[in-house]
Amino acid sequence: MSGGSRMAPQLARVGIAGIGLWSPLGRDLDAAWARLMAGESAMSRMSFEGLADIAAARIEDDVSSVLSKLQLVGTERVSQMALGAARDAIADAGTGAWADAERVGLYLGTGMGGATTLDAGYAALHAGKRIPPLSVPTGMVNGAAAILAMHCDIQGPVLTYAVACASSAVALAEAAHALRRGEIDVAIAGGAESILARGTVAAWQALRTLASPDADDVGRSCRPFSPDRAGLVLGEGAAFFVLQREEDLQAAGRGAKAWLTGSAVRCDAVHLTNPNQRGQIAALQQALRSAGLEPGDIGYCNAHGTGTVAGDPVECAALRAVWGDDLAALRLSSTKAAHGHLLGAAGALEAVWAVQALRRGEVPPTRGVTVLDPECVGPRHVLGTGESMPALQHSISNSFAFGGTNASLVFSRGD
Amino acid sequence: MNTIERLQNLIHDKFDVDKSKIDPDGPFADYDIDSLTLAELIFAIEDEFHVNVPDSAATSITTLRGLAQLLDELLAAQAA
Repeated sequence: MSGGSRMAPQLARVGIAGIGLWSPLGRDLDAAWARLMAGESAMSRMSFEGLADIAAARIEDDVSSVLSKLQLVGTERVSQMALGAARDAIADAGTGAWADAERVGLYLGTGMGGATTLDAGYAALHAGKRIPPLSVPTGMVNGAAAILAMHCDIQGPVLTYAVACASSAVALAEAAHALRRGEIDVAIAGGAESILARGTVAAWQALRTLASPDADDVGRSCRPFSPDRAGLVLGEGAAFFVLQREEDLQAAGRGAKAWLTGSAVRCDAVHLTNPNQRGQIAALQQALRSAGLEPGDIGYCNAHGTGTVAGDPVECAALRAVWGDDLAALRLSSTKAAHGHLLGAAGALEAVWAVQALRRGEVPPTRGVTVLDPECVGPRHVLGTGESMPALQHSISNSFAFGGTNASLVFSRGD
Repeated sequence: MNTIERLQNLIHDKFDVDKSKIDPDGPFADYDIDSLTLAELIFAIEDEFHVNVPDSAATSITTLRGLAQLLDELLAAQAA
């Protein structure tokens, strides 16, 4: 094994200039945060022909409103949501027209890209009808990125990361690397996912990982860390950030909403779907190292915490291994209990919460959970409603994917 | 309603293009119908007119009048 320096090199800090989200909790960041802190759920019951009902966290807004009818040609739900959230992030950053569009890059994470287009196309075909002519360019996994590039004039690297549930966390990490190595000056980074279509939902049901809708309270269908947790709840949506180097933010007279101080991506290389403690530990340790922080410096962890029987204890064990005696002080929650699992967009949406926690000095809860599985105890779980934490300086967000890729992002309080 | 009018209505309904902008003799690009939009349009035409438009039409025809003439020929051939 070759060595190589494990010290974080002195590199430019990467700051968050803008945030945009189209989430099941809404599009307005402050309003969505308030709902999250209050312990609200965005889940509802959803029916598909021939399938058992599912609990799902949907976007209620008309996502097609982002474009004119003519411009909608070649787009679909995932690209429309992505465009809406990316435009909001760019507007929030207030950067205006790009000084040099070739120095702007797009880093988009999505698990299944244009799944709803392919689903509808194949459904038509198998029903003896014709498959629509733009199914390939609309349904391709980089379709959303291409639409964003066209409408936001992004002429630098336009990249799509398909790393299942870690997709957009990886996209954010890669965007920060590109900024640090000077390849670009502005990064639009985030993710989008829209898979609430009959065929895709049926495939998820067949995998037996979905929680059944809770009979008494559909909002309580996803129960991370709870002894009665029964699986994940699918969500949809998009979240994007505008990232810039510190020097460029300063030159523009703007502060950072928070700093993306560290990240790591490590693979279990063991199993298609089973999580693995070793790979998660590796990601957590390297993320902290890259940020130049110790475990005890991190005040809040937005867990991957999908609410599956197998997944949650492994994540808690990995945190226990890395944090040791400092674990008792680490606030932990899984916001998937409120907004479901956005799969490829999960890392970006949950990064929004990790950043918002720093900005507000308060941490969001795992809503709807009151009792903890003994295998998940150790960290200071935030349950029910959010908590004030004015001294919070650093947060971490975990995204641990099917396929074994683990991504952790470390954020630090901004100006 | 003649074929050109039917096509103008279809383009208006499907893509929200102002009918007054749709010059039957002007290139499709003049009212923002690009190659992908034309593919969508032909797909919709096949449903509406119950004809099969040959693949070559998408590249050889550049105006609405040309498309209407082709459709009239295809419909006449079907009727014969």
